[in-house]
Amino acid sequence: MSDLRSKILFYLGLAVFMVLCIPLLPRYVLTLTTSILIYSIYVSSVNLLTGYGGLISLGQGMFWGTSAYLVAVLTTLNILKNFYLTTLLTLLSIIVLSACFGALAVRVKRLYFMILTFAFGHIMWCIAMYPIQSITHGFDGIRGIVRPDLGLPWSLENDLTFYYFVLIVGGICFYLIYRIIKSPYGLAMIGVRDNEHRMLALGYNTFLYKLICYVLSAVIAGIGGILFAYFNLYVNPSELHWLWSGDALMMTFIGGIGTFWGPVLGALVYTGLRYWVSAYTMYWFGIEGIIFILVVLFFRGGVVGFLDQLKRRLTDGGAAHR
Amino acid sequence: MEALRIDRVCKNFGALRVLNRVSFAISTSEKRVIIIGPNGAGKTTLFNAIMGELQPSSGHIYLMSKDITKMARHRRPHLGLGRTFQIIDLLPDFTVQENVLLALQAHRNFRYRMFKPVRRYKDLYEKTGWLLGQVNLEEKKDLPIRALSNGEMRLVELLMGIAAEPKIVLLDEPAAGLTSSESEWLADVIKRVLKEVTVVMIEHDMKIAFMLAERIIVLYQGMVIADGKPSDIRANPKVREVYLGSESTD
Amino acid sequence: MLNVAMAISQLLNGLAFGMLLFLLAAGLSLMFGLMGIVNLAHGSYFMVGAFSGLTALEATGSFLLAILVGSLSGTFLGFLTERFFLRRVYSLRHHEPILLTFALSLVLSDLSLFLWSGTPRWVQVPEYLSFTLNIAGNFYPAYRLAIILGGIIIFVAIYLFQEKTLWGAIVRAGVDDKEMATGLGINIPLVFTIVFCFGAFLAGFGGFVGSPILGVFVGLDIEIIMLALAVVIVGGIGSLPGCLVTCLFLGIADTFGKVLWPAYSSLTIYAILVMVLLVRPTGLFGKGGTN
Repeated sequence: MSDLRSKILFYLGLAVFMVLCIPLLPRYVLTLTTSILIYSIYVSSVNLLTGYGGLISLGQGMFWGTSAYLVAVLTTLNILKNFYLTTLLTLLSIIVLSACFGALAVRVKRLYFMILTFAFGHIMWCIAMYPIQSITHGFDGIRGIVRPDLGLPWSLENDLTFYYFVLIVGGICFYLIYRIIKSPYGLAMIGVRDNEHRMLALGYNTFLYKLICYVLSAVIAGIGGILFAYFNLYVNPSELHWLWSGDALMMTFIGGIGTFWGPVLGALVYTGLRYWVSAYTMYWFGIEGIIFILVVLFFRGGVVGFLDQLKRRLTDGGAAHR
Repeated sequence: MEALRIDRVCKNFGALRVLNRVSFAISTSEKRVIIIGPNGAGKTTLFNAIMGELQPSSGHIYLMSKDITKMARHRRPHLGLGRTFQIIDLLPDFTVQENVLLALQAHRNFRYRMFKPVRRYKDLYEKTGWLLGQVNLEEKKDLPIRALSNGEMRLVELLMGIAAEPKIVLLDEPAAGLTSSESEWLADVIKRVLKEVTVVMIEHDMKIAFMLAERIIVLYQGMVIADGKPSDIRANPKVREVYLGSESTD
Repeated sequence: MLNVAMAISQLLNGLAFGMLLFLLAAGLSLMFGLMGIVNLAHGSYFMVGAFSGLTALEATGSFLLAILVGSLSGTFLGFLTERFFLRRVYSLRHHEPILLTFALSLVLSDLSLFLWSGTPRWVQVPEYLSFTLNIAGNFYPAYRLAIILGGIIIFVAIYLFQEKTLWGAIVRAGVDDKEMATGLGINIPLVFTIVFCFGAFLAGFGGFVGSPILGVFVGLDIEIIMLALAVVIVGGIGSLPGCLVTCLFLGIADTFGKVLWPAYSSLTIYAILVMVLLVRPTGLFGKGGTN
């Protein structure tokens, strides 16, 4: 019983901290936390695909960036100003895009999958870089996005309200991912990750499982992208660049791949480190590489794994984790 | 009714002919068919072809009178086909229970559902518990596969192939690597749990083969050289010639 | 549009570029076939080879020495990678080596930025090769022809080595069945290191030798590794001649792509990759099935 109790206390404490404490801190902490939350949605999509699905993609940024661009284009060109319709259209496009790409990509060997996803992402980046009749503005990106009107009494122009908005959406996303992992589909997906050969012999259509995982993960990345567009009010091709997809992988591993809290911790550590390091040197990517090498060699479970080990050493014993 | 029919199946790997016009039919009334043959005879390749892991170079395979020669691999178990592997092929990080759950879940239409947690599907767990009880592994159900002994893993491997109640099951050397008493226990389990199922088994252990078999098919260099009752096979001169010097019959 | 003389000229450009790709792809293919490792840092060896060769050239004026320096720096980096990083993760799951080499490429990229700065540089073709030959109405640079020729010689050398020598047989045995090879007394870890270093040597060599054509800049590493990987996949793993043919074909395709649709030229090879995998998921000359 005390295990359940400590869990409830933990979540309660977390909720209090996120809802009440953060807003009381200086404003830049609020916006930083908002961005970390949005990034962790992105990272959790990669965690779903790579950690639970076992598919390493170098192109998840494609879905993040495409949805950010779709929001930008739809709103700044006055095609669709309604938040709900814009979101619906964007997510539908992401579903179609990921279903098409995924159907090709998940059929092949894992190595080829990685290169293919890189290729797809690169294609999208090239399209954004080349100004299509001044829609995408190429290298400059698109400015002038405005915070959406949800039709509620609270305006999202306010940083605080937007923070709560992101908190709610993020919470829903994480909860949905949790349910998916614990469901029959989730169990089978992890089985496909660990032993596709046996799963096929048991009668599972592993292609379909992988495709569904790919589409789900794309949609979540897309949700992150939408939030990002409305948060940042400006999108440029770096959101589609393969480096950003690589960063997502890094964040996932730093946090702890295939774990529930990994994405948030990974996004937190990454963002914090990036801001701190970038104040001293411009060689962030090299430092990021070194950190990553250290994580892979010495901290294989990421932050979550490290904390788990600590917990295990402080309390005797501990159950085996997947 | 016909459970399995192999019709002139050939399989070539480049210049190497591993299966050479293999033909036989097994009806659902037959319960224990054992395939024997020296190493390299093509037995596992035959199983792989039946399961769809490889495509025959020519010939046809019929399961329950349906031509499955070109059918996708994952659809065949749904016609009532099960298989176990010679080299244990489980999910090592999953618990014993989870392995069997997956085997059962494969045939349920909720296997794509995403919102109800697996543990709420009570009947799945009941069935799993029953199956594990049949092989005395119920206390170990929460252990990861890695923690089991070889003999116990073989039992789980067996369960994986039969959990979904196939009409015909392919057992590939289910007793490989087991001690004498462990293999007797396994044979006993097979006799008990698979009473009504058509079992097609590859076996190297002659004792078990002749003990369990109603019918024996002998494969040699990819060809069927003998096919019939155990007593006939024992007396067959071709079979003695193939085995003399390489393995002992009794 | 294109007239015949231009077309031939571009064809030769494509062959030269394809040869450079081959220097990378051969090493990658061998590494993957033998060790199951995708080395994303391979492009970094290429780039660092170019940079260090350039430095050597500026310091000594000797092109040949620069080639040596470039090749050796590539080899050295390869050795470091294999010996100190990859060795620790061979036994782990599939993704660790890939990500490790990816991280390494980031480190090497920034290191290069630090050592050589971000301005793109160009290497001068040496005096004795800076003449042109008249081919089908073009004055075609001899240097590029030298690259094509050199590539063919290297291909033949590797092929003969692989097929005809004892060492080659050892490598092939390792690719086919590591356990058996170890059982026969072959020192597999040593073979891995040697093969890896050889691949890195080719990369460093190709980086500097290719620098008069491709330039030397930070970012070359990623551009070239992704192209080389795409080539390896299109060609499939397991056949050296297949690898060469694919490299030349894609080199030509890329070159013509740059001429015909310059805005999207960087996509030509990837577009071909997608199309090939649609039809043949194992690549054109590949052995083995999916997953």
